[in-house]
Amino acid sequence: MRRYYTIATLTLLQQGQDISTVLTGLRQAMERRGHMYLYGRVLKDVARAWERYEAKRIPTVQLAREQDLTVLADSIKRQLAALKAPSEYRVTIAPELIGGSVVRYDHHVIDTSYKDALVRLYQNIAQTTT
Amino acid sequence: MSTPIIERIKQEIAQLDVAAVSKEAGTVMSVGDGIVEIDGLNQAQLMEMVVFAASDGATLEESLQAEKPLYGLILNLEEELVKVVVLGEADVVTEGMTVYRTEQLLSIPVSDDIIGRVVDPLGQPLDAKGEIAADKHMALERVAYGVMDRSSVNEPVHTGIKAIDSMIPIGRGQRELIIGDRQTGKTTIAIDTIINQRYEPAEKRPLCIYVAIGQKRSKTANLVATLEEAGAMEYTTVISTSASEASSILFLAPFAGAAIGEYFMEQGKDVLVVFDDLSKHANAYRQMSLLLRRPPGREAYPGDIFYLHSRLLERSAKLSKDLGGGSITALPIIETQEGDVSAYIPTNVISITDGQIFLETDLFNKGIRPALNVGISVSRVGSSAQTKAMKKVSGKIRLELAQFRELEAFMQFASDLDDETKARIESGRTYVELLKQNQNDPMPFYKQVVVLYAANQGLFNGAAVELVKQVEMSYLEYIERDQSPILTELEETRQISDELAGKMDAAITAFREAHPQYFGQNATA
Repeated sequence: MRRYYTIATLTLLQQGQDISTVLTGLRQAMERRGHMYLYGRVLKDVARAWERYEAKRIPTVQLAREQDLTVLADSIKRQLAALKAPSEYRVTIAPELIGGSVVRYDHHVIDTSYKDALVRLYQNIAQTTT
Repeated sequence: MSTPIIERIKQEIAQLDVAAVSKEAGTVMSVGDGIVEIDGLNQAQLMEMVVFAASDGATLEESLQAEKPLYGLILNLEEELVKVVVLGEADVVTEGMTVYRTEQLLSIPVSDDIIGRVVDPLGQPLDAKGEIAADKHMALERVAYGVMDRSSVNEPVHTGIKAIDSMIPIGRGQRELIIGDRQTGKTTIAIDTIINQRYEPAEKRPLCIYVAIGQKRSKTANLVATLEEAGAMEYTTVISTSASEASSILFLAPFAGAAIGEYFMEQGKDVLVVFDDLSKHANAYRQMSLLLRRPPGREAYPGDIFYLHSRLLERSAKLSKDLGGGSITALPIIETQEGDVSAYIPTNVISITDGQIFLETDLFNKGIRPALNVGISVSRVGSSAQTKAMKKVSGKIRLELAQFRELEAFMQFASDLDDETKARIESGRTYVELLKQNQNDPMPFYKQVVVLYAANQGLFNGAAVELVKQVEMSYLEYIERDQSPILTELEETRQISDELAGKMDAAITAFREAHPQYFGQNATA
């Protein structure tokens, strides 16, 4: 039942309907059927599903610093092309990357961050010298 | 300044692949009881390994806390989700974490260095003797060899236990089930078999793999100590999973044993694999399947519980000469409840294996150890897996014991029986006493042949049942001291020639004459 509410809400949102209208309709439908105990969980499922949907539609680029956007512009463009992603993307800043970038689009990731390289380097050395 | 450490790091940096490679990733939707639900991974395969990006959102320092990556195994491919069991601590897995495909099926790193080691089902050493350099990665799940790739089972695996080697012989490439209630000596039979392989010539000695599935760590530690003391760890590998580990690890343990066995079998070597025990394995698989929401069947086991054990045990084989002639002999162990061999899992495994060794609590409590019920134990390979010498001496024992079992009920009326019946009962009791053996004291097959031949020829005639073990020990000492060529010839030729039979008959006569105190009505210790 929870799944059906989630799918229905998500479908309406994907069709471009106004979020307030959709949520009002959802609440009324659940009240009528006595399923209000599921309301919170359905909303959470919808939010999570919408994030995944957005992630599939719009690529995300994580950088360590804002200024890296200019430096890595060409590299990011190549990586988006490799993922067959649209050229418009969202940027998030993650200082723990140290440097480089992480490009995500539709369940694919290209991780060229310094952090990932250093962690792999450490794991390789740790495994072969134990 | 250059140091070995800096040089090593420079080497790693030079080898490090920093190319922009696209990896398929999924997102953790939920985690609980060691099962992770993942969204994405649309191209994933069943039994594929995935790696959790536990360092997502963490600083470099936090990421370096974990030396080894955390892996998972894909076990369910559903319409919208992929379900993965975590092969390690599931505590670090959080909702929203990224998971990457490795595009590799689950495998275990193997090399000759794994012999003599104690490892977990993923090949990680547990004995603090250093890392094991891998020569090859063997897939845990493999299709068994086909019919045309196999040859018939015709070489024996000597367990060192007289009752088994004489009446329930096991061959290389056979699957022989050891089944009985708790504390009836099932593991002891398996361990004695492993220890007994020390008497085989080094070039023909089977490598042994003991798979401890959900055993107490103390039991496994004692077992390893016993094997080390007997010198058996030189040719044995132990795969240890304790009762406190995740059911996914217990599920993988026997497959790891089979994978290691196949590595050596494909080199033309013989391997003995003990699965101790498959009842716990079935329970672990049931637990995992219920958590994966697979539909439960009879006794809440999943529908493919038979397939679980059949595909495992089918990997035991005797390969044809073209493929090297190697073999895997399997000794699966099943624990029954109150002697119920008609329960679900026992009947499944009985129907898969090539014979079974039944151990009974009643016999154990009566002091008959090993507590074998030879009447209902069977080896479907039979005398094809016996040396000619053993074949010659074992026929009479089976008949004697069968007749004794029939007459046992009349024992309470011993004074009313005719002499022939009394003689048969006495003979049966003698053989029962003779077949008793101490724990961790396997007997090489040539000594077994000497003792059994002597019993058939009347060595124990006139000896009280209470003195049978003493007579046996004394006779063996006499043979080792004064008639050692008999043992040497048996060991080398594995058959009893007329000349050798004559020598053994003479030895029996000489012994009886030299030790009258054991025989007759006034026999004493």
